[in-house]
Amino acid sequence: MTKESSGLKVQYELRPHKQVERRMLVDAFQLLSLAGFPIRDYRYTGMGSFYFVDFILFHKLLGIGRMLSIERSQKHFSRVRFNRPFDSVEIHMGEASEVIPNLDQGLKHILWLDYDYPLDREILEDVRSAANLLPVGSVLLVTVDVEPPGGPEDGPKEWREHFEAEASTYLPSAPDPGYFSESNLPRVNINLLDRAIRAGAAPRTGIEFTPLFNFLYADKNQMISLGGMLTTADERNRIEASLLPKAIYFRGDFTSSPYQIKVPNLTRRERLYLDSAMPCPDGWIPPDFKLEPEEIVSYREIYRFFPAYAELLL
Amino acid sequence: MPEFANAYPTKHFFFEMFTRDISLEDCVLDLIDNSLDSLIRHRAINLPAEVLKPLRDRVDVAKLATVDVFCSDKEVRVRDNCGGIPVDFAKDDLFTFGHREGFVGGLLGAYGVGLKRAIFKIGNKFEMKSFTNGKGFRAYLEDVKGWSTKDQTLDEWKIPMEPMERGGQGLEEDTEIIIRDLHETVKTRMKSGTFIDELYKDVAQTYSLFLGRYARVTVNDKTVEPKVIPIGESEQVKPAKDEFEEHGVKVTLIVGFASPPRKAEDAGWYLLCNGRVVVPADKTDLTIWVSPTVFHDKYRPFLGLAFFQAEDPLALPWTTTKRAINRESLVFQSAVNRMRTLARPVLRTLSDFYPSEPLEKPGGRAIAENVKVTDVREVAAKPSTTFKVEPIRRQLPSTTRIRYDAPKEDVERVRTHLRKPHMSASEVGRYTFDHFVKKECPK
Repeated sequence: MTKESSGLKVQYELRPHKQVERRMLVDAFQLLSLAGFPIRDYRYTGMGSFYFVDFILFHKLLGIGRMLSIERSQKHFSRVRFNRPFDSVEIHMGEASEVIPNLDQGLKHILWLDYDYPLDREILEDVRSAANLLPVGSVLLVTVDVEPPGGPEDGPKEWREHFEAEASTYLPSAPDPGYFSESNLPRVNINLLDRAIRAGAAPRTGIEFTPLFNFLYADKNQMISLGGMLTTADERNRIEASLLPKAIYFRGDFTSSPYQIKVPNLTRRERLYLDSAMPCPDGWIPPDFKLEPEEIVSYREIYRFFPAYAELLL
Repeated sequence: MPEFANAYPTKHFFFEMFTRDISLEDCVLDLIDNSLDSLIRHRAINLPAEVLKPLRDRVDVAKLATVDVFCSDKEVRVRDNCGGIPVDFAKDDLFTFGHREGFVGGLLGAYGVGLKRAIFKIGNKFEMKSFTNGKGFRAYLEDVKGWSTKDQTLDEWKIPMEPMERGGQGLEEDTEIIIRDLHETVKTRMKSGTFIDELYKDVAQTYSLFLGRYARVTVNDKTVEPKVIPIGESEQVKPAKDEFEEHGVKVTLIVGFASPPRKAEDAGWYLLCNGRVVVPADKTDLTIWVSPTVFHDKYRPFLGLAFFQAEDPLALPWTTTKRAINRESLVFQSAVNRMRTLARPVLRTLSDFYPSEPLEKPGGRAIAENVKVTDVREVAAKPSTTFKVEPIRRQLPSTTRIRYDAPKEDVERVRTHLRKPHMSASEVGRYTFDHFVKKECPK
């Protein structure tokens, strides 16, 4: 796995699962706005590559004006500059670790550490710093690739060695034999990030990290996105009283299973048909064509967030 | 009606247990702390606010207060002209084991144990004389061991004191502590021949920010020169700084490169409380060196300083020996997280400059060698900033060298497979690498 930008591997706009995640985040921020969090005045810091999809969404749908994109690849500098969607988007060429200590302590932030490669020591340090330094009310999101690290011949033994080399401080002292099995790797990653966040937030008096999001999805590689807010009792009360905990994608702790984004493959005609029945009652299936009941359940969960793609000849 | 069990302290405890946790050097430093605290009280020095301020005026070293330390296998003597100790203070506070709550006395002495512990640790006979404002006292114990066995009443927890008057001209405000009839353990160390050197080094290091600014310290007639913490700076390299205040403690953090010549033993984190170096050159998991970031020779230029300053010395994260840090201190836990964050760009730069492949000689190394020592107080006075190295990216090569051993048999198999029997081993390496890049991770 290289740290080559995923912007080169995939057309960003055409990653439906990632897009559903972004739209769910927009939804969550709207609910937080209703609960009195001034999201419009937050500063968004992300890793926009040269597509800036999240920047465009957050600016247009949430009204966020202050924005900073971190780009680590010198090679893409000119393309990143060229594709900057709004004048208010600043660019930092360099590492997240250079940005995190300098985040304005007088503002609230949405910081999305949106890595497209597997967890390593640098990511864990970024996450820990961010949890330590972000002002109260700020939202921290971290995305990492949770595919098995290393080559195709590697197995649980090599994966264990990888995580021990990169993250030994945050690993359980005596993991179960199956802990590093392939199916458990998303859990290994979630627990590592959780512990790094807690290590960063622990010394802060009266401030906790409150989990809000835990997404699992795959456009190509399996990814997880963990997120939450730095809170005092006041923020926690406001979140609890808001509509956010009722949202299907909400995760108030990192120990339960992540919310798995599943995007069924549907034609445009099928979607229009299904939409006219949404939100459907439990057990409903379309009378005119056959779909599995689970697919209907998945669709009912995500249809509001599901992007529509069409060819545009410009 | 409940009965009561005794929970009284015993002198034996202080005498036997308390003295085991501290080195002889640190006991002598405790006596020096006592002198410096006199000076701080007497001159009303606002140490937490001042110790990191840059020196603006030249200091006339000859006019500085002096602390003279003499050590031999006969006696340990500390004499100062730091202002003396008021009689009432000596009567009520100086000799108590621990300070009462709300006590405001010193900024270097926090716990009220140093002086007593030093006496117990060092010898069986002690005498202390001090004058201030023309009034003075003499406190003494002719037989410390004998005193420590009498433990029946609170009166037996008192130390004899007699007033002393000193009139006329040349009135000095001074204090002298003499400890004699040294314990065998102490005599042996004194005779070992290295103790005085060790003590000199400890004084030079511990009071680096005090010597030549607030006081002059001599050890057996030799003036101690401060051991400067050599934070480096150049046109291209600027140290990072961060500061915050928590739990009544102001914390200032500085990281960067040490100026050459560098010794690995001097690299690491320096932790200071009210300007006094508590832990020098830490390379352990007390600070940031937690797996996978363990100290390595390539980090030899790494230098970090963490200053903890407070008007209430009990708020500081030091232990009673002032030679270690209380890891559980909340302000220290906060500081460690920020130290990690601040240090990362420095560590990454050093990893780039000194890669594990010794064959490479990236130009970055010259940058690290060219920094010149600067006064930490000048760095501390600047606004917070991250670590800066210019222009590091251009200096880094775009290629790296790969070298490895392969079984001859496998190399031969590749040659046969390619039907190129005369392909050199390095060509085989090149070919197989290119093949992997092309097939497994194409652009």
